[in-house]
Amino acid sequence: MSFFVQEVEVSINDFMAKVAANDKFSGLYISTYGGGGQQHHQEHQQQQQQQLQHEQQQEGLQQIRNGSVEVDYNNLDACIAYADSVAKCGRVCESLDLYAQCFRMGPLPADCLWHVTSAFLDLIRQQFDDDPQTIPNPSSPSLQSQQQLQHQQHNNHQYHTYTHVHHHHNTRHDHQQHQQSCPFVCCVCNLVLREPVTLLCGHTCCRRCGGGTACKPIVCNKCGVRTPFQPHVDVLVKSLVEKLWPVQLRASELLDEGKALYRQDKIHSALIKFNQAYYTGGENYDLLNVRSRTLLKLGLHENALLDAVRVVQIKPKWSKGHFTRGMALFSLKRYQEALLEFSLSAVLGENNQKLKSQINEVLQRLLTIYCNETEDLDLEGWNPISHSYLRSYLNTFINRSNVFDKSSNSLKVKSIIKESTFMKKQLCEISTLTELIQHIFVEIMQTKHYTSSVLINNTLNVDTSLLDESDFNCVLCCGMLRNPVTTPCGHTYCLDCLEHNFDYSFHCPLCLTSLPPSLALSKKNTSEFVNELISCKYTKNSLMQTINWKPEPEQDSTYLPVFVCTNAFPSVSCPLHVFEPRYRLMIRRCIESGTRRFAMISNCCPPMKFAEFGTVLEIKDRIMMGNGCSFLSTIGTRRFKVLVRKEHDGYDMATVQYIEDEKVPSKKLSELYKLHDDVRQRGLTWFHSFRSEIKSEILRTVGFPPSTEPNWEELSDGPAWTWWLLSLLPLGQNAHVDLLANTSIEVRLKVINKILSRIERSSLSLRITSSSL
Amino acid sequence: MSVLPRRILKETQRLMQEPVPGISAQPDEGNARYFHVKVTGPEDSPFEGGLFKLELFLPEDYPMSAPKVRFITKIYHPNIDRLGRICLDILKDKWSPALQIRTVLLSIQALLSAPNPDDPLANDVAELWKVNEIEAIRNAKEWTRMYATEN
Repeated sequence: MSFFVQEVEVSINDFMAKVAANDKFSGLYISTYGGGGQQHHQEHQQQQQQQLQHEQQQEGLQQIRNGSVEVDYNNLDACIAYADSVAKCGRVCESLDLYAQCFRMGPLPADCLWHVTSAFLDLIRQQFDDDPQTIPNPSSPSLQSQQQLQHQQHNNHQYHTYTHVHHHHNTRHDHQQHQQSCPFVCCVCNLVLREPVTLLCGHTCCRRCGGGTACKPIVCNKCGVRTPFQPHVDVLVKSLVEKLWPVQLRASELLDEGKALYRQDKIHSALIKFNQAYYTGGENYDLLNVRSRTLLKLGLHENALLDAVRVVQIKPKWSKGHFTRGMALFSLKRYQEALLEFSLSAVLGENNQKLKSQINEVLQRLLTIYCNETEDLDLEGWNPISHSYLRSYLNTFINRSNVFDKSSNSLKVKSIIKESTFMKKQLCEISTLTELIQHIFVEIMQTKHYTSSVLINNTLNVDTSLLDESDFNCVLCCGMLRNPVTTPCGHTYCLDCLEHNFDYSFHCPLCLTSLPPSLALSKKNTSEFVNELISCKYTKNSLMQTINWKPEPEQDSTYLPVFVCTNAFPSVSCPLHVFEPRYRLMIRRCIESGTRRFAMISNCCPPMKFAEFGTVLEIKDRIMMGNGCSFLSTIGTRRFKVLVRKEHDGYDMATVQYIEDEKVPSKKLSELYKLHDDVRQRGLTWFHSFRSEIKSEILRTVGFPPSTEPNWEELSDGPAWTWWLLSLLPLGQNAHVDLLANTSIEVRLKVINKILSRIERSSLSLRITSSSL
Repeated sequence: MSVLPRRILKETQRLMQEPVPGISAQPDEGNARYFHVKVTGPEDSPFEGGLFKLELFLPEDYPMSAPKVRFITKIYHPNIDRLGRICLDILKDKWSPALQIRTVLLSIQALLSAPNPDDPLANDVAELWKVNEIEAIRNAKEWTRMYATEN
């Protein structure tokens, strides 16, 4: 520091004491900033102190103005210290006023503005994060028309040098539609997909954009779903991108080559690459941004600015773009606009030392310029009091209160906002930093309410004539991909095909990569890219007619999948362990189609694969095991006779005819009632004669004996308890089939009766034998 | 009685339209899952000049399970036994549903070019192949001439 430091005069001892107190407080402020659990408490304290301090400072300031305290403005140290203290309290404008006084004595180095820079950044970030209610309605007609006007201005005047003009969109509505309608670009960078990887959620991004590592999951930029593995390049998407957008891919490669040269500081060669990329694939924000920085390094500031302006136009909420534009403006000595761009960059997320020092620099230049140009102005001319409404406007921001409600000067504020939307051309008319900052606030809020991360020119057109059916073939079914899903190893199959593959093994069919069962069995999302591309090429009808897509089979209650295993009975539960791949497929289809029904038939009649009679089982519950097997709780419903046998994807199908009991003639009813009651009594006695552990085993498997229905003689399968008892009786499978086929309740009761008496006799003889031993 | 999956139809179609050189596969008239296969002995192998008949059957759960393939023509080969059964990993544990009839037959053709006596199915043949390759090859040529040549 080369300036001369004068001695402190006694007359401002009091003032300096205040400064010292202020500094102490500022230390506290710094130390609590971003602190831990004590922060809240300290913040409270801080607020109180701030209040106190504020009053003291106001008083001090007032005293200075009134001339009651004589401040020696030649005492730089005191002034800077006071300005810093004010800055640390977050009173940026005041601090800048004070600095302006310092600067009037001669330019100061940027270093000494560090505190006010920090305060400025805090202020604008806080402003940006504040409640959106304090903002003028962004869709208000006046604002919108102004925006359009601005756009037109941009298009007409600033970009005429671009030969490669893409369609510009003037309204936000268009932007939004555009953003939603391109599923073919990377979901992170919004550019053509390089080394595409498809995430668990079905969205695709460039591998390097995904940014995950072995231990850090990739979080999808579109939907936020986490992908807990590092996916391999999506082979299908990669080949489709190469087929459809070779030019854009080439441009993207050139861009990468150029970036590599730029990093090696081969600026000229880099620029050549960037220009090649530009003339190959047209403009995109990434290219323009890096080209702008390159041009800047080469001293071509105007050209750099043109590129940077376009970047911001394409991607208005991109902090890096604003930073680049700020750098270009800075180089052109357009400091006011540079400060605005740096501020936007800061609020949009950029947070690095480079940005901060740039802001620091800009403030220094601005102060220098303002002070030199306004030398004839006296202190009163700089006094923010003369802009009292601005001051109150800013203070309301600082106090986080609602500016546009009830505020007595709301009209004035609104008019300022209106005026300042034309700010860009009027910037030269801004003569004070306070006005500039006020303008920056308005711009920040407008940017915030610009439709979220709007992008133009990010659509890739699909030339469907480049595509044919073979591009979308599933290697497993040889048909058009239906619900395409992509494995972590980057291979795409129909959802059904892949799931069925997992019934057999947890390997990718194409590369034989072992996939963890947990992943294989988890819910899979279809690939948005492939799905959308298929629907670009084919309508649903053409898919059904020309390609193999069969409409979902109509649900026919007499055409059933068959589980060949055992005999099941009406109303009796039948627990099943499903482990064979074909039955896993069958059960999955049963559940997915919503029918939840299948035929259970025993395999007791060789050479026929399954018997002629069986029972329909309804799935009550399914418990999936980690290996793809499952446990089913089912209950028997109706009996049937098999009419036609077929095969489908490895399991059997049957056309069936349902069978019901014949009606009992009323004259036989009383006899039947008696038989029924006897047999039931006998059956229950037999059941109760079991040892308790056997009984509990029975209860666990087939449940409690069903009670007698009041109208059992009218039921199509007779009373439930007869089937329950039949499932326990020691009968062969053939006998069970015969009983299922039988349509007379009387006959079945008699059979049960006969078996029970045989059991009773044998157990009696058993008892006699055992007692005689 | 079952509906033929599209995959089998497609594969059959392609086998007919774009046959693999040296391999022919014809579906049986009565059973679309059963194929009559003919493979010519590869050049520069002891099986050169021979035409080998095979049968190939696609099981119910093809392509999830491998096709069943067997040599009908007698062949002197360390990985093929006297019943014509073939020791080839992709027909067993290394099967993948992405493989096709075409690729299976190509693999079998390659197996004829490169016998692997270290993973034998016909032990006597493999033993001779290891101990005295010249004699083994002579035998293979002799068998090819005897069993795999038309006249």
